[in-house]
Amino acid sequence: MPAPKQDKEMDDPRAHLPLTPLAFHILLALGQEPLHGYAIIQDIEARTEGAMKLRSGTLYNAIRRLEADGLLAPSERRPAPDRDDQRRNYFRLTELGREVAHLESKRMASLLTTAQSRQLFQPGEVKS
Amino acid sequence: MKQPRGLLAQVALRLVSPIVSLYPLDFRARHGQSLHETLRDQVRSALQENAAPKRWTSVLAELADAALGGLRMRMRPSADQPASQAALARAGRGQKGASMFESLAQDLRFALRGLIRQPGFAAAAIAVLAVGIGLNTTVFSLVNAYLLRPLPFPESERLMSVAPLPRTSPREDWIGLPREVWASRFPAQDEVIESLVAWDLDLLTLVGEEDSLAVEGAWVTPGYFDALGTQAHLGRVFTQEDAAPDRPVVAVISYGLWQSRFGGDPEILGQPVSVFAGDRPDDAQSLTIVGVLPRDFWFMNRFTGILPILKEPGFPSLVKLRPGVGLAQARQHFTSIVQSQASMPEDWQVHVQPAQEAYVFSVKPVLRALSGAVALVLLLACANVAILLLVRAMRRHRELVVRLALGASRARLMRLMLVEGLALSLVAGVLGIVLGWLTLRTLSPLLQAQLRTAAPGGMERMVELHPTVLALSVGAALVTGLLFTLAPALAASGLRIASALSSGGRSAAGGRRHHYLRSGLIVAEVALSLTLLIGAALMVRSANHLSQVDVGFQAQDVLTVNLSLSQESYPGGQQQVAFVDQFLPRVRSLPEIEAAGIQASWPFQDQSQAPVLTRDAPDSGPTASWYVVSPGHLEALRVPLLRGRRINDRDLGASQPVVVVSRSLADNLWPGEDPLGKQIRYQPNRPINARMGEENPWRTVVGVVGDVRETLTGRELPDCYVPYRQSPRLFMFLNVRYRGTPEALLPALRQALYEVDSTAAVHRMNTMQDLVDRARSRPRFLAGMLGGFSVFAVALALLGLGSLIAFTVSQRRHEIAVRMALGAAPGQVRQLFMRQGGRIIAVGMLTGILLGTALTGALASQLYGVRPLDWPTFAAAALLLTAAALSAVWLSARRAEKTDPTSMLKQV
Repeated sequence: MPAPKQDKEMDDPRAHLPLTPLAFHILLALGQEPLHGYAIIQDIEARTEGAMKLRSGTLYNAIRRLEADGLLAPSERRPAPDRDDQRRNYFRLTELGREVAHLESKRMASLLTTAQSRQLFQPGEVKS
Repeated sequence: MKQPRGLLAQVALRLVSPIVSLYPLDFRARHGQSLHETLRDQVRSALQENAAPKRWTSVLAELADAALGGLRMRMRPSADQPASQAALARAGRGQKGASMFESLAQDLRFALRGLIRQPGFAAAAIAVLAVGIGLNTTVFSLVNAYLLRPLPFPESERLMSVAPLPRTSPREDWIGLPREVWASRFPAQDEVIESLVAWDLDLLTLVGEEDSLAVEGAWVTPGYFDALGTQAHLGRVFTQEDAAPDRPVVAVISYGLWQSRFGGDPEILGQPVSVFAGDRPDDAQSLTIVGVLPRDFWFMNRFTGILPILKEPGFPSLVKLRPGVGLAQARQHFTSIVQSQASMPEDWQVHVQPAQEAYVFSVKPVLRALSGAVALVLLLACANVAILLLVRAMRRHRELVVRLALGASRARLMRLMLVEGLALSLVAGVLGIVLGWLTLRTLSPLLQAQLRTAAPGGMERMVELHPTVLALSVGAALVTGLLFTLAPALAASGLRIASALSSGGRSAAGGRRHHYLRSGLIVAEVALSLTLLIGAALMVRSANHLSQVDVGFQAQDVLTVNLSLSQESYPGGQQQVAFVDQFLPRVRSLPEIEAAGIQASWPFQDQSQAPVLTRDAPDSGPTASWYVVSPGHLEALRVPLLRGRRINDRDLGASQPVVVVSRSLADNLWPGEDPLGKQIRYQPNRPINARMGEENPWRTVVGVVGDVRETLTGRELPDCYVPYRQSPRLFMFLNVRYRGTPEALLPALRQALYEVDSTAAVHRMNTMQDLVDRARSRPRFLAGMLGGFSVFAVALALLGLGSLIAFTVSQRRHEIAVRMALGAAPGQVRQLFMRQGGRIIAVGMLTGILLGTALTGALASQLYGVRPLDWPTFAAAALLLTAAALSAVWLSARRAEKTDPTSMLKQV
């Protein structure tokens, strides 16, 4: 089993920035509650209105890397028994993952502010 | 989620488990089931959501992605691929990545150092490969220029060549079809035809105040430039209005003619120029220049200086189809148009072919044969370098074993070999591309002349290093690199540490795997070089046959000069005859001239062909070539007289129409009878009428001469000779049999012409021998090229064979020394190696013969007088190569027996 990397550099959330779009999307999907693989795919597809359609092989390769980087982990918390599917693993954000997602969001927000100030972008352009 | 039904859906879901098992065990232990469920859900949702065709592509994509994901994960077993871009960058200097990258660089450095340490080896390998790649670059440039790139016109894929052909005999002489049946029958435009193009090549004489200039030209229909998508450089091209009968005859000129004749004067537009047309004495003589063509304008096939408008319908040969019309549809359309004409014979159809294909039709087999040959040469070069590398690897055996013992992985050793091979092939690739390109640049005029078809779009387009060619050459270099590295890499993967170290290096040459590898390579070399040798031998024999073809006349010491008279000075037949009657005696009176005559058609080319009718069979007969000749023509060419007489000065326009026929025609029409006094004429309403005059009286046979070939390889047709005085022409060739050199003769001939008519133009001059030789050039060219390749190939094979035997000898010197010390005679040792070499050569020969049998069919269309599977040629090539190969083995083996056993044993 590949253990999460332990070296100091990797514990520094800033060392993980910037994230690849795929990694960021997965972290965003897990922001609210633990999800299983298929749910992650559906969440991303719904949020991007079908623009980003993940496939299982791609997702699990990404999950494995994120897990190795210590940004997400299998979740112990599972949904209510009536909704729980025992065969599935649920994934959650680690503290580091949450921090990295937060920093990446901040980074993007600052980019957005710059874009706004240069009149490249209007706040109303994107549905909230 | 609903369970999808259907067999395919079930199959797709069944695939989920095997695909998940592609993932590494540790991953499966943790997430296998979860992945399994996710994949199933994805497949199910794909099955439910989409429409049928999209559904399956999306299911397939899902499964493929999952399978590839598993393989990807297996290739990176330790999940060292970081998720963030920063981590990705870090990996470059990180521990793991560094070792990977650095070891590669280390390998490269090591490989280069090794090559520099052995400059002889490196130079030999690089030279062999560079020649192989260079040859491929050159030939592929030709293939690309002629066969792959579209003709240099916009949307040229819509240009089709059309020709009427009898169903029964494809590509036979379509000249037999009545011209008026073909011409003017196509609509200028309809739902299939966007534009229709006809042209007539012609020699035109531009008349100036001081001198006349003969210019190659073509009469083209108004839509010509539209179909080709050509705009004028200056002025305009033709419009449909230009074709109106009451409009002046307009012309456009080439950029070259504009510069050379008119000094690039822009005022040339609208100017009338006086022109005499060789083939069309009845056409208008004043042309108004309305445009100058762009500098790079390429008239299919030949340089053309002036293109006047053709107002008649002409003989359509090129069509631009409307967008979206396919070949089959066009074919059907044209055939139905032609067949709806009452006068069209039933068994004729229209042959429609992409213009590009029609244009390169005759070059294709030559280029195909050449590319096949250079590919074989490259393979051979590969095998040769593989042997060199293998021998080198054997020599480095100990070093490799020690590396292995010190902990280098086999994969690392193989990679080392690979890097070395790629370094070699890249250096050779760069050199080869430069070499090939230089060859192409230097030889392109020669190559074009030998192929006897102008490069589409002109020479400059041919010699540019096209990206496709570049990509192919680089690709060839890389693939060859991999190919020839395979052998030593395989050998390295089979190293055994313990046995190798304990044997003290003596067993390096042993080992079945190495033995088979080496033998296999030699077998391949022998086989490939034999194949090339067979191909070359076939072509040489074919060229030889061609050089022995009896053309039926003596071409040596005959000069042929193209003259044309102006319509203005010679408006009628009488004046034309008068010119010849004045001119010929002057020529004959020159001391250098033995005989002189006139022929009113291109010498040594297809003549006007038409069926010969007799009084007994007035409707059809055998097809013959019809010549119009003056007295002295048959004498100048030394065509043997068999019966009766030749054309002579008594055959006047007003006297009885006569004809001289060739022996085969006489034998065919009147077997066993006396042909003299019989009467014949040609079948009327043939294109021949345009060339021979409309009159077609019955002609009395007055003589029989030997048969003459019109071309070397074409169909052999019987001949009919009609007196010039009975069918005079403005366009003619003077054939003279001379003593001395043609250069010395020319001023005297010019003077003789000038004395008769100062305005008559001399278009071109050739010796008849040149014309005949030119017809032999393509097969000879191919024979020369293949011959050169096969010499190179055989040399490589012998080199490989020799180096292998020498290597085996050096590796087995211990065994040899022991054998000799124990009393083996030197001859026995030699026999040992001869037996070994002989076996390999025998297998190589067999393989080569099989390969030759499979490949020489490609040469079939270029072979003359010899079949592709000509066993004597095969046997001769095999014997020659066997003898050479055995000598190579014998020479190497002799060195083995010359060694002194004591010193050898001491060395070991």
